[in-house]
Amino acid sequence: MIKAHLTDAEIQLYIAEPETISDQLKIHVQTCTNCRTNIANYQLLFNGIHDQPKPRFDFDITNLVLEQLPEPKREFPWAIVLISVFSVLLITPLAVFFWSYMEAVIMCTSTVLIATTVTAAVVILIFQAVEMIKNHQKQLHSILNVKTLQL
Amino acid sequence: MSNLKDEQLSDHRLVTAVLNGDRYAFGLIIKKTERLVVQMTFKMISSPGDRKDIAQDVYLKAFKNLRGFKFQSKLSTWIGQIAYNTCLHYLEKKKLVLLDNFGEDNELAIDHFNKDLRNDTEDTVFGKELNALLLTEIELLKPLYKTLISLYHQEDLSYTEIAQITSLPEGTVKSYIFRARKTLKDNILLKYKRSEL
Repeated sequence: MIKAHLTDAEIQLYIAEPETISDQLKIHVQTCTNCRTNIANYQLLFNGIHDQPKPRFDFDITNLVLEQLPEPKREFPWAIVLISVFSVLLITPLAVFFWSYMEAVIMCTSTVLIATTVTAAVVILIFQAVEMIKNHQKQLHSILNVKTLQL
Repeated sequence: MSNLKDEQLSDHRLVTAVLNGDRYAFGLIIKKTERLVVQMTFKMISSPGDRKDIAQDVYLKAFKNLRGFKFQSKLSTWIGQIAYNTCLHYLEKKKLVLLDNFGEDNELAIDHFNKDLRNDTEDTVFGKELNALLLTEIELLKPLYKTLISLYHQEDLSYTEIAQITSLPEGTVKSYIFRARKTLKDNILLKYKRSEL
């Protein structure tokens, strides 16, 4: 059995991380009044520090900071505008140039083919709309979760 | 493990919301981390007026750099780092000492005194007036020791989290906390013994 008393470091470990203490030291503690007293002293110190009143600001830091935050900048959607302008510039001359051909194609096309094309387009649009609604609900849910977050 | 995941998930939501322009979400971040920032500013900064400026500075820096937060740690740890560095910068500017070596002579005297005290084995000396004494003695510690002790014992942070906040090696954090506790114990014993005489 170990006869030397536990050092301060060992006593602190005995309280904070008892799993790191060897069995021999544990046996020594069981039989040594001096070490048990030291452990009791440290235990009181640990509890005392933990129970110290927690400091608080005497001002509302949240409001103080939020007042100073810069307004969020809404960036001009350059990419969307450029793509739109480019698309219009590309499609308009093509449409003007090929209008006579398109007219002829439409006149020659059977009603069944037109109906099929329109139906396909409507179905695709419905699928896209459903997807958009789902995404919107998902984002709304996420924002509501943030706002109702329990702190 | 699951708690950590939940926390990181909510951190992620909050950060995303702030980056999308939701200022209210940043208010939630402040509320979530305020206790840690309060502890650090109170322990490292003695002037109440400066604490107010520093606390604001911490959150304004966090807001400004939020886009750079990569979720490699908890959001609170990241804000803790900002708070620690801001306080450190303040101390450096004011030429105040964060930490210096304990006087060797003082330690020898305390060790010598402890040898005498070990004979009083039946007494648990800390029982009397501990809280009042502790409050005074904690205030007398160097800012770094005060901060480490508070983060570990009052905010229940792990050594790893404290090491991340302070950018100190984990072993150094452990060693400083051990020394701070020992100093507290020794000083309290010393004062208690003096009042007994």
